[in-house]
Amino acid sequence: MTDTAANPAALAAKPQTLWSTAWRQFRRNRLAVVCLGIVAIYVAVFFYAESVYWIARIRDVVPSYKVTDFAGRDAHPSAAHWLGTDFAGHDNVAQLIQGVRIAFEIAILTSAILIPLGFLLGALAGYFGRWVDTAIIWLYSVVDSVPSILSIISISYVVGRGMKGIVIGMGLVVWVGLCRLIRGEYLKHKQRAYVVAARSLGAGHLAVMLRHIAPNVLHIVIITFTLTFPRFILTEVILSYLGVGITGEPSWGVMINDAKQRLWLGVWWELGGATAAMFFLVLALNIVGDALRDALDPKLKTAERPAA
Amino acid sequence: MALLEVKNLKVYFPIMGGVIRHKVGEVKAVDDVSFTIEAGETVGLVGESGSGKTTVGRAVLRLLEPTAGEIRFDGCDITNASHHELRPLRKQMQMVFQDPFGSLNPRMTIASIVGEALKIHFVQMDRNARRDRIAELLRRVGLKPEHMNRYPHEFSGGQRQRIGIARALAVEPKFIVCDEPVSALDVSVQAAIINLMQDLQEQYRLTYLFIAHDLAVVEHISDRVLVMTQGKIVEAASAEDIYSRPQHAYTQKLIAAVPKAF
Amino acid sequence: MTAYIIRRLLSVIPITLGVLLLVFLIYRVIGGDPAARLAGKNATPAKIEQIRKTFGYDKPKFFGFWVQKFFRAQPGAGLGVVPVSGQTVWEFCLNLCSFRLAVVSASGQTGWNFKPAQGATRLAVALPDFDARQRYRMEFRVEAPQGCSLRVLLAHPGAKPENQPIILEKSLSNNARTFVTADIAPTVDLDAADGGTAQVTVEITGGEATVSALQVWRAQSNPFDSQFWQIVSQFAQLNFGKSLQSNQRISRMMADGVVPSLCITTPIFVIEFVVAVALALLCAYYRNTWLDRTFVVISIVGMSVSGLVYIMLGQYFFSFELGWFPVWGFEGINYVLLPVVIGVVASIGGSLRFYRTIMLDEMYQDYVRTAFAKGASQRQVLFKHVLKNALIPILTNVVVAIPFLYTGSLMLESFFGIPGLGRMTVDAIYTGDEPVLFAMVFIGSVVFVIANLITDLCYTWADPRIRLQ
Repeated sequence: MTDTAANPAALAAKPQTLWSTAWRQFRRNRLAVVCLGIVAIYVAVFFYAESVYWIARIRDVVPSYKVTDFAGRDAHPSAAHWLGTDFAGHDNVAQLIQGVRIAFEIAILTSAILIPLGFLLGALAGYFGRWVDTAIIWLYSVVDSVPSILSIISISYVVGRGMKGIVIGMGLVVWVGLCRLIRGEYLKHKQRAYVVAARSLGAGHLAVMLRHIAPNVLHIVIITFTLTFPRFILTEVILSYLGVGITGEPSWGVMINDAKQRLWLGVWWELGGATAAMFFLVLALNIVGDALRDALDPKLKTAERPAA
Repeated sequence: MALLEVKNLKVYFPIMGGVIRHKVGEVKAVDDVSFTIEAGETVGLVGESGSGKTTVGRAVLRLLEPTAGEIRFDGCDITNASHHELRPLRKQMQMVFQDPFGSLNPRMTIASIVGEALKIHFVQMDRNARRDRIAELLRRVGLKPEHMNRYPHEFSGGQRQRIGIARALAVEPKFIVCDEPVSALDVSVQAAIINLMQDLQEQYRLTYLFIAHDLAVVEHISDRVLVMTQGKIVEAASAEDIYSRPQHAYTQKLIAAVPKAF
Repeated sequence: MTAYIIRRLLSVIPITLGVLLLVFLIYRVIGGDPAARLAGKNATPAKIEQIRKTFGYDKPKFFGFWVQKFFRAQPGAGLGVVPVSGQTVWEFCLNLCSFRLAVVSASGQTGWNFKPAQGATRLAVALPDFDARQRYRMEFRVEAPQGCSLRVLLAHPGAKPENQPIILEKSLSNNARTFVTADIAPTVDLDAADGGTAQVTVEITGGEATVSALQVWRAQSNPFDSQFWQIVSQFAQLNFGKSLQSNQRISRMMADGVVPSLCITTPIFVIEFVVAVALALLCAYYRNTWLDRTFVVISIVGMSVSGLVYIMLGQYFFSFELGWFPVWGFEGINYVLLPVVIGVVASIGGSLRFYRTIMLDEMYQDYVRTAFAKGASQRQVLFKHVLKNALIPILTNVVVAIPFLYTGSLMLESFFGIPGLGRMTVDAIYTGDEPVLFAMVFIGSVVFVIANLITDLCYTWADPRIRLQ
């Protein structure tokens, strides 16, 4: 290799960020691209459901998916109601669509707690080391020692039923995984020469942590978000079953639990619909998450034992 | 007056162990080292890996906390200067790193890598002036200014080392610690980089502390050479003397290790 | 190495204490007033106060010389004292502990506006269960935009304001915003006997004022007589208290629940482990073939269905429709079969994927390549090298899953009516049996901590690299 400083013909036509390289890598995985499409459809549905919800709220009317029709309750699938109606005559498809909204809201709000928490603590522990590290390791070891389903249930239970309980419960528990990964990355990066270089230019600790190292570990946040999203959805079902879930809105967990009794009467479409809606999103997210990890950071160990 | 004066510098790293992870011993990375560097001079610092030469380089820039001793830069004592007090000094002393891959932040463009120093130390400079200055710096180290929006991974090792040099030059320093700047490069590229550094030294009247693990590279560029082993300087002499009349057994060993072709 | 083992053993102590602290914080602090939660929605304040006293929730949380006291505040009739934002006049103190960390009144009830037209405005604060020999302290915040004078008086109910002894007298300047602390010393002559109700009056004259964040405390001599240390000492004696529902000892309930839980979880655990590791080996052997890919797809598909759905469908089809298994109960082996099968099916996807990742990680190590280069066969490499080296991560995973044995499967047990720990937990959530939940979560965590300790010690024994640390 010769020094081609004067004539760097080897450079591609356009500047290439590591993101664009990763995207090329990701695109090679056909299945993952298809799944990304599925996720995109869900995102579109989420925006649609959100608009239905907000339009009804602004107009101060009962939203269409909540209008009860006891005459047409427990209806079988038909042209008007593709998945039939539930015990109060709500259209199941409309409820499923609102379920998408609830699932995304939970994921977004929970991530709004867990990502800053996990990132900040992980960064502080990894970057400063010493007693800060010891304290933060102690903190996450403690949180991690409580079986996660028990601590999530406990927090949701004391905070109270509803979105708030679910979000706080999951947010305060699930950050540990991200914190561990981020801490490891900061430990690794703080020894890299570019960090020493930034220090030698007079950059402060905060600038080094946030401006220099953070962009190098940001992909972990994206991977973690994609791979924990399914966990939020599945946990919400359990919380609903335990009576500490969403109230007053048709989340997938609520639908599955409502369908519990009617399944024994042979009414399977309600359960089937909610399960299918969940299944495709969770499956797509799992596959996209794996592909993202392979594209962005193949050595990252995100394999965690699924909660019992 | 000497630009840099180092007296009895010691840098020890603690070894933690035992039940409560207390200090059970220490590694004497740098053990009682003294030397001076005059303005405009190039001093070579040679030793095998683990001899403490990189630690010396980082300690004189106060990137590491010295355990004991005194470091004076341009007459003022910086041994215990705080981060805040060091800030104006950072403008005068810089570093070029060994690893051309690890020393550039992979998520930053060349412009922001080189421009960061300008942002910190030339606050009054506006965006356009900064751009012009970056372009000029890149040109000066032999790179094309139009590549300033590229990312480090698009460049070869030698090119990256040039970027690292441009970054160090950006603050118009007096003194640069070159921590094995060429040892990770191919031999043909090494010469080009060393020539570049010599050109820059003449042009900007720079002072170098040039760290290397083999004498061949150092001999070419240095006025004086310090030989370090196991945390101590065992020999200090002019480059010619070191080569022609090595005193210490370790120096003789180093010379014997230099390939004849050089 | 001895130092490492001792250090590792000692590390159990801070972690266990931390877990206890965490569970304590969850149940006693972050959810607000535990007594109010236990009493239910429409409970009277007196009921809540009774619960608080019974369970010791009135004590300081961690440390403190002051015990929070329940009180009733009532504006003097027709005297221009208006509760802020028209809220109820009942006020409680919800402080974290009796330091000034106090976060007051999460319910939003904040205080009273005093609007003295002429004369004085008074707020009567009644202190039930007043003990004349104890010291009390009242604290509140006053805001007076135009200044006012303030008095705190003490009397028992019915006494005229003129006759009440003055505890505190203060005049506030313009724009005053201050905390006022009134100490009620035991020397104050009081008729109120033990358990009687004393009354403190806050009186404001000469200007409008807002009183908020009112709290009353009783002094206690032992600062460690607190909720947290009480739990620490109780739990140290393996006394987990009693269930609110059945009034049984929780330790007894747990001992009864362990066996049914193990009957379900042990078979699930063993079968799942054997099948998952076997399949993972198969995947590693046939890596990147259609067989491997099929299993990967199946495992991801399996992971993407909620566990609840497996249980509901399994119970519906096999117990109800086909009648192969009993639906509910715990009376023989056939009651256990279906839950075990469902448990294995529901969790095998995740396990298979996890073990496969471990095996493939090993597969691409240099030593495996060397073994292949030396001419070892696939099978030899797989069983001799890969399995042996993957054993450590596999072992960790197994040991870490041990708490699952203990907590059981929450949903499986409650669906199939198996009287194990999982169902006990679910019932406790439904009925709000907090002592049971507290103990369950804590014990579950301790089991995990111990399991983790054992894994780490096994590591030092199995992996020579760790001994070097």
